[in-house]
Amino acid sequence: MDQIPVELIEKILSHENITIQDVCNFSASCKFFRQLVLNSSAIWKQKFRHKWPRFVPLFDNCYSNFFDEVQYIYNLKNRVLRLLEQMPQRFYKRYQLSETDFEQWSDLVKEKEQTYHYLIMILMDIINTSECIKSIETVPLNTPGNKTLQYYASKALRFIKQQHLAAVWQQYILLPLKQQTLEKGAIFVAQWCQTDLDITQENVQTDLDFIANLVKQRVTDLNPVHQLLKAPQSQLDAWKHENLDQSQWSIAECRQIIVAMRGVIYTELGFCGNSYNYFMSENSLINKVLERRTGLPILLAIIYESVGRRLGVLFEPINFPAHFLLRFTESVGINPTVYYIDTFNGGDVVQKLACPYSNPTSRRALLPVATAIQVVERMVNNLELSTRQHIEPNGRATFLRAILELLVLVSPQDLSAILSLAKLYNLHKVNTQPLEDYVVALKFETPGPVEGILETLRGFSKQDLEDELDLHTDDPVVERPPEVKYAVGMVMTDITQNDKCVIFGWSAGCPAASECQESRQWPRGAGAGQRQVIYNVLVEDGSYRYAEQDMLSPSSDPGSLESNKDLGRHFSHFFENHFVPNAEKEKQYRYDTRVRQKFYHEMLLTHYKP
Amino acid sequence: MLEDGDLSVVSDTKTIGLKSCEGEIFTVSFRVATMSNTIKNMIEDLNLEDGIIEEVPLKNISSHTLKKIIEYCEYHVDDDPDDQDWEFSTPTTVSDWDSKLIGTDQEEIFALILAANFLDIPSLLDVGCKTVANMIKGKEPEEIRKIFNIENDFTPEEEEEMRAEYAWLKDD
Repeated sequence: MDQIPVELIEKILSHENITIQDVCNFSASCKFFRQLVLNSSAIWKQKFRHKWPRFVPLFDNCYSNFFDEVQYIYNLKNRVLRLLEQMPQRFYKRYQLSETDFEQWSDLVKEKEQTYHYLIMILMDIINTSECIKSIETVPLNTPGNKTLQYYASKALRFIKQQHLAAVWQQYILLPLKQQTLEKGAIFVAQWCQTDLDITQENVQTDLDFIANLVKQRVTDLNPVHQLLKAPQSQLDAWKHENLDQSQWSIAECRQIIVAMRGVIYTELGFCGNSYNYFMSENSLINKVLERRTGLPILLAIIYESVGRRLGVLFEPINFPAHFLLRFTESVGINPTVYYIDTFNGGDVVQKLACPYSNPTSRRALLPVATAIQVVERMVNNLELSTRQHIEPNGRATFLRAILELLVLVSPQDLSAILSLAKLYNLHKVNTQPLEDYVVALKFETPGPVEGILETLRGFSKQDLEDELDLHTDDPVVERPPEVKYAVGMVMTDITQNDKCVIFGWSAGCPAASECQESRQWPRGAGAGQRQVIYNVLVEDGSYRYAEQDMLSPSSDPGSLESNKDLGRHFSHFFENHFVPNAEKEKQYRYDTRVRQKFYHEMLLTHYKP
Repeated sequence: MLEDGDLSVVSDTKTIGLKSCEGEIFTVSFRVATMSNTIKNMIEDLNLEDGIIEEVPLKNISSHTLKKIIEYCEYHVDDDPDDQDWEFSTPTTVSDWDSKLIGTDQEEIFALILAANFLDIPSLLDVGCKTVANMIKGKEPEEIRKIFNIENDFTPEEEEEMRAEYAWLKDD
């Protein structure tokens, strides 16, 4: 091998089949190869490209030592695991974490320009692993597939992404109006609300491009000499990224595009307004609306506008009090004719006078065009409304918190949003100091009402300090009185509701401590005098509940419990017929282990087939 | 009757002699020989397109290796990447035919790689490197030493140090 020139060895080691581990092993074979590998930027650049192709563009305009970069990412993985390992013990007693709990994470993000992207990848990998744990015992936190690890990784991911997105929003509102496109706003909202998904501007824009291309093809069929077909690609690209001042074609040609849009969007692709599940949050998230082809008027309008803009036709968003329409203007001489497009109802074109949503008294005055920021505000308000409906219980408190934080970010003058967020923080023992600082820094035209909110916030801050002590003391080990039949981790059928749930705590005689105050419904018959065993259960739809012992019956089928977003707070994994508690839960309910395992063995015996 | 411009047919009728280091001469068609960019450039630079070239001395290539290279070039001269039925080596795999030709003898493989590099036959060089890469893949340093006859010149302390240095790799 010593006769092979260095560049050929580099070529061999640069090959796709050779992993980073292989390169290191090769370099450990002798001193000459070690020097060769350490000094070869060609090999490391290739290894970096093969392993993380999506990060290559981060280095487009700067020189980098890729050996250092590879090493940095590997070390970062270990540092992330160290940080995650500290979390369960620190935060076991809290449901929501404070901004201040993530200080180490924010420091990490600031380390290097690329670190944010690496962290997102590392955390996503932890969350999305397909590894499955097969152990009846509690496993170490860093075991791949550990739900507790994933639970905290997803909290860190949410924090890091939302911190990043808050900065993205500040940039967006400073953009020239021409560049504040509605689609960018909708993508921002979708990214904020779904931090566990990888939603990129490119992916959403590709979907919109696809629709625009279908429309273009249809225009070709309608009118083979349409001016649109002569527009250069550079022009089409510009419209994709910038708002139009006016439609680019003659009245007849614009109408042809509108006819084609209607045919493609509503008839061919089947987009429609979702009036059946109007308040589901996914109706407000552009990625979901594009995927499911149904949603709220505002989202359908954004998609319609984005497609129209790509084809050189101007549609202006109009905020009607109870509806959201797009305005299309035909100018002939000095009297423009105005039409409204109802994107929720199949793209119907309505003339202003017939429009059912306009106020008859102001018939002559045109409603102002909504700004992109106003459109985003309205989208977020819709989302807040949707969380208030209590129809999506899985991870609801976390989602509501994200929405309120988003609302405070995009409409800082909305005092009721600030107050709602403050109350939610207080309920979940989240440090309110950062919110207080944020409010103080805002400039309000009339300071009166703000003072009241600040007063409330200061009160909460005092309370935070008292809570802090309680949150850091360990709960005592729970002793088992004889009347308690079941154990933490067991999957049960709730006979009254006929759904699956898992026990994550219980108490005999007095109300169990629980942070799920929002859904607190103390069971009937559990009044004074009776020594009742009451279980805290997580339900398969994602909600929390109290359940009486008599109403529960052991089951070995977890139903859809595994998709519960809060499972990892209590359990590390599912095993055969039950959930294995994480280290913290195990410590508190250590006497439950034997009972849980006894039920497991009984199940094995019942189902034993020789 | 040949039509003008049908170079592939023309170059088939012309031949070139390739002389190995042992002095053995192998006569091959222009078309096969010009799979080597080195030979192709030589022919173009020296304006030898018309004649028959008696011999090109290849002092650093043995008859054994040269035979293999010619076999490879003759087999692949008509490669059509669009032909679905044809088995090709892909960026990550080596086709059965190629791997049979290349063999498993290390000395031979390296000789082939060096020759492919010198003659500038990219596809053969690639297949050769891929073969060696697959020999390295998944092996521990000690195994790599054994396969390639590499002498371990690290002291045990240095080896220990290296292991600590590469600790960042674990858990991957």
